[in-house]
Amino acid sequence: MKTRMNGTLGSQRVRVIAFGVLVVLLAFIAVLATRDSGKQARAGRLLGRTAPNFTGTSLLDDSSFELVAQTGKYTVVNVFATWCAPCVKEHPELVRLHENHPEISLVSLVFDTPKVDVEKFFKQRGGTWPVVTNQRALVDFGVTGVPETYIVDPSGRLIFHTNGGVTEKSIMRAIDTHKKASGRA
Amino acid sequence: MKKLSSGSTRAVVRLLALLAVLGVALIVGRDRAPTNTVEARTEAIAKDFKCPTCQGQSVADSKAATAKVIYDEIARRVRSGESDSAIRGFLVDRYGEERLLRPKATGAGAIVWIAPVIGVVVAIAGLALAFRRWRVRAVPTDDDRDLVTTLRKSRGNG
Repeated sequence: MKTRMNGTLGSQRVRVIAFGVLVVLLAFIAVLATRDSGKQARAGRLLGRTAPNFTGTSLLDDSSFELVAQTGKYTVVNVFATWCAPCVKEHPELVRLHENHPEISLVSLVFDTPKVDVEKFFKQRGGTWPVVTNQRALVDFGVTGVPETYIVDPSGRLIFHTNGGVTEKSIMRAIDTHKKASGRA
Repeated sequence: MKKLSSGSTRAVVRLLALLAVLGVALIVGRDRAPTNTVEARTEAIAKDFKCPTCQGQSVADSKAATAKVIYDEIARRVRSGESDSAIRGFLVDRYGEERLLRPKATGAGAIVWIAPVIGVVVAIAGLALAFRRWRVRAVPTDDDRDLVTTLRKSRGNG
C-alpha cells in the first residue's frame, strides 16, 4: 500500500511538472509568434520618415550629387554592385526609366565595387545618371545587400523600399500609387 | 519534520564554497585590456551586433562587405564622440533589434536573461529535493522491518 501511495504521489508530481513545462513552452511560442518578423519590421522602420541625406561625386563625370537637392522630384536611390547578377539584370530597366521619365531623379549608390569596374559597367551597359560612393549612406539607409532600391518623394520622405531587382514598371507603379494616395495625381 | 543530517549540510556547504571560488576566479581572471580606446569601443559595439547578411556572425567577426561597411561606420561614430548607447541605438533603428547579439532586458528579449536564472533556481531546488529524498529513503520504517522479519521467517532464517 505504501508503494502504491508513493506511485500515486510520484505520478501526480510528474503531471504537475509536465503541465508547468507545457505552460512555459506555450508562452514562449506565443511571444515568438507575435513578434514582428525582421524584414517587415525593418522595411516599416524607415518608411514615412525623412530619407537620410547623402552627397557624392559621380564616378562617371565628377558631377556633384546631394539627395536634399532633389526636393520637389521623386528620387530613386538604387544600391548596386557590378558583380551582382540581379543588378546586371535590372540595369536596362533603370536605363529605360531614366530615358522615359526625366522628371524622376535617379542615383546609383555603389556597394563594394572599385571605381574602374563601375566605369566599365556603365560604359558597356549605358546609363548617364549620377553614380556615387558613400559608405555612410549605405548604413544610414540600412542597406544589407544588393540590389536594394528606395524611392524618396518630393518632400524628402522615404515611401518605398525593396530588396531584389526592380523594373521600370514596378517603380512607376510605386510612384503612381503614392501620387494617388497623397493627392499628387 | 526531520532535520537535515550533518552529512548533507556539509555536502551543501562544500558545493556552495566551490561555486563561490569558481565565481571569484572567473571575475578576477577576466581580460583586463583597456576598454575605452576607439578600437576597443568599436570592437565591443561591433561584437554585439549581428552581420545582416551572415548567419550568426557579429559585425566584428564577419568578412562580408556589409559587415565592413557597418564596422567602419561604427568606428567613425566612435571617433566623432558619440556614446556607445547612441551608436547601438542608431544601428537598432536602421537594422532592427533582432540584430543585437545580446537582446535588451525588456520585452521579449527579457526571456533570454530570465530563463537561465529560472533554470538555475529550478535545478538547485531539484537537487535539494533529490538529496532530501535520498536521505529519507535511507531510513527503514517499522513496516520495512516487519517485512524483512517475515521474509526471513518464511525462509527459515528467522
